[in-house]
Amino acid sequence: MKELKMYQQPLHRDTGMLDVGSGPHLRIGDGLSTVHQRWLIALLPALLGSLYLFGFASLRVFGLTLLFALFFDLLAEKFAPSRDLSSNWSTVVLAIIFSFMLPVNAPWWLIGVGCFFMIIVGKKLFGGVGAYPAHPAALSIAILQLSWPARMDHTDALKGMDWQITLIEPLRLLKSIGSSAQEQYQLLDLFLGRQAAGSAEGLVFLILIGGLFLLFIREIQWQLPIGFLVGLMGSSFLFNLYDPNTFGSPLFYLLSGGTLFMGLFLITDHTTSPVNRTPMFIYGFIAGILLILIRGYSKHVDGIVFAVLLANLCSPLLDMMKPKVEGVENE
Amino acid sequence: MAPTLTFPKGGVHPPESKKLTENLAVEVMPLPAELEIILGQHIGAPCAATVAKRAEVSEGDLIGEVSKGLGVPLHAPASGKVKAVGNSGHPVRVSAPSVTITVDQEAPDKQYQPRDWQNDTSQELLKRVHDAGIIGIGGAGFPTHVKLKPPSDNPVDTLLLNGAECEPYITADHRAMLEMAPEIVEGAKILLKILGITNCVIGIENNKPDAIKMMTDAANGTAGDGFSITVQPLEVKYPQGSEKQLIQAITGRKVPAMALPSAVGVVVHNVSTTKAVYDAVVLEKPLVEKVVTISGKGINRPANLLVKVGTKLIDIVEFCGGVKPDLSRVVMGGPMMGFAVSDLNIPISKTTSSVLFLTDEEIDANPLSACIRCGWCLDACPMGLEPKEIGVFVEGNRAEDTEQFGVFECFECGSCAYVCPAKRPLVQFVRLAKMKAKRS
Repeated sequence: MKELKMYQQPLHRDTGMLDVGSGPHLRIGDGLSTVHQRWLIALLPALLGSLYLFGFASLRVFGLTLLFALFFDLLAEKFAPSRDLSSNWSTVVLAIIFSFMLPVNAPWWLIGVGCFFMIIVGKKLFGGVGAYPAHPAALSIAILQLSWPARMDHTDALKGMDWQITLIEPLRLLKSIGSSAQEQYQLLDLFLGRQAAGSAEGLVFLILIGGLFLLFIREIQWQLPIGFLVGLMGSSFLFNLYDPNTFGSPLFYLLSGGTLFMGLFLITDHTTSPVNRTPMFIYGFIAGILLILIRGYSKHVDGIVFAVLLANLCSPLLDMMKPKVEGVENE
Repeated sequence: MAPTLTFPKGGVHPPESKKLTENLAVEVMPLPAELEIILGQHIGAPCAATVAKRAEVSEGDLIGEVSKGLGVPLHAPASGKVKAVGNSGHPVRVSAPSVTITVDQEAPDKQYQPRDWQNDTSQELLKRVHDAGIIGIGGAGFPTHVKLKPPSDNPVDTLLLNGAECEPYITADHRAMLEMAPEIVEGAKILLKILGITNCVIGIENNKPDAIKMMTDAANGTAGDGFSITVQPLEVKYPQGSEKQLIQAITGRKVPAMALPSAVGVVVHNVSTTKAVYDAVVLEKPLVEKVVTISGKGINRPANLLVKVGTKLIDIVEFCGGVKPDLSRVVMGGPMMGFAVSDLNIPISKTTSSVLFLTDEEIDANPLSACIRCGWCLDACPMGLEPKEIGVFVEGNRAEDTEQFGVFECFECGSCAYVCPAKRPLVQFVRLAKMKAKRS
């Protein structure tokens, strides 16, 4: 019998056999870190825009968030190691998404508490990437908004800014003085991000560029944002007809606050959104309607995180709509 | 040229890597010193050896037969002496009963003379196909004569020849179509006569324009024989060569779940199997050799080899100039559905269409992580299943509850695991689920 070793094969040192594995032997991509890095690229335009607009203030928010989030992630890793380190990349993405919704003057302890809830409670306690039932960043922002509403006030954060626009959150003014508030804002200003909002969520134009990038590379499916758009525009149109004093116009809702950020980055999160195509559309649709309802009838100003969390809860139910197995319908 | 067709749902586009061997003509590999012929090469009951140790056999002699159940006989690929009736390495079953023949290098090559088959009845033709030991050599190994006897309540009207060869690297069918087009078309006519029909479509992916042209020319040459043989170019998409996908792409008919293609009036045969039918009927030559693609960046000389069934991988490696130091995995079959082998003393069987020597840069051995519910496996699945759910259920020890996701409809093409960003071994999960789940 011929010796295998004469061909210098990479034999396993204990068994003297070739390496085996289950097919397919070809696979695409470099794992989950690639997925998360694509999200980071998509978040980059808004991040850079925020740094340009607010300078050190937003750098401080982003830096502190990353620091705290990675600290809590590594701490959790110490006590409950996850299977791979790609979860750290997901923490980076979550941290950036979280910091986009923070006011630029958020105190350091607020960011720390937020990161604790996001990473330890929202993500790690539920089993990490792929297992958390609610979007951790949305969950954490919701907790902060309920616990320290005054600290989460974007109007207050930007009062020192020298902008030639109305420096009150559009949705806050809408809530307090009714739909006449819309006259205070130019839609173009809102679109270009010249509005009071979180550190980067209000940079509508730059958020749109990132979201279109994700859609273009098919990282996220079009059913989610389109369903969201249909739900949001449809319901706000009807509510605007029904009660024009309380509800703004569909375009005003679309361009103010974090609406687009929610539609492109929050509800499209792989883990918390449904996996099948039709449920994706319904999920986006529900999220859109919920957002208008919350903005119209609750005390919350923007309310994107509450709409996201409520939609998250529908996701497992929606996923029970299964795709058709090929050939089965012929029976 | 007719427009290209494809199946509607799912599918992936892995790198083709066919450049390595697609322009290399088929070489005849010299006889190795020893052949190990595995007795259970087809789906069904394995053969029982009909020869004893130290018996003299000559090429084409019967060495194994199935007494009961589904199966085809087995023949000696070369003249020589039976060295042992024992066990051999097997890529899936680890070890399998086999007959080992010490090849007599001095024996003269057996000559085959073409004969006229036109006067044979379809029963006689069918018997020749069975007696020559022909099975689906594209990979499945299903006895061909059984597929040629469709149940009488499902009349068949179309014969499809599968020349898609959608797996990356493999070029064996491609070369067969280029070099043996007239034989394949003649084989198609034999199959049509056995089935008693006249319509045959040859499906070929359009990354093989030369093969499409050769086969079209050969098919046009038969016009006027009363048969309608046409070539249908197909879009390059994996798994185009899967039976159900091919039928839907070409005829638009959907094969019902758990049913055979004859349920929609179609019979599918691989082009190489058709060539073997030609050999069996016209040359009276049993299936003892086949074209195998030897490819991958880990072998010094990639080739398309005509090898005897039972040739061991180690002999092929030697003939192809040895392996490179960065070889990492040896795969029998395609890179998507093939099986990695743990040593090289494993023989080629009738269903081996390629042996790939893959290096570290070609394979992906990344560890798995948790499912992130991105849903890409659902988009890739050509059968509309939910691979991620099957994986999660198997990991959660609930494999027996996976029938609801259509686990038995899965033909393990590997598209889901190919696209999975979490590198989850979804095909392995499905195989585990199939073992534990019960068919309702």
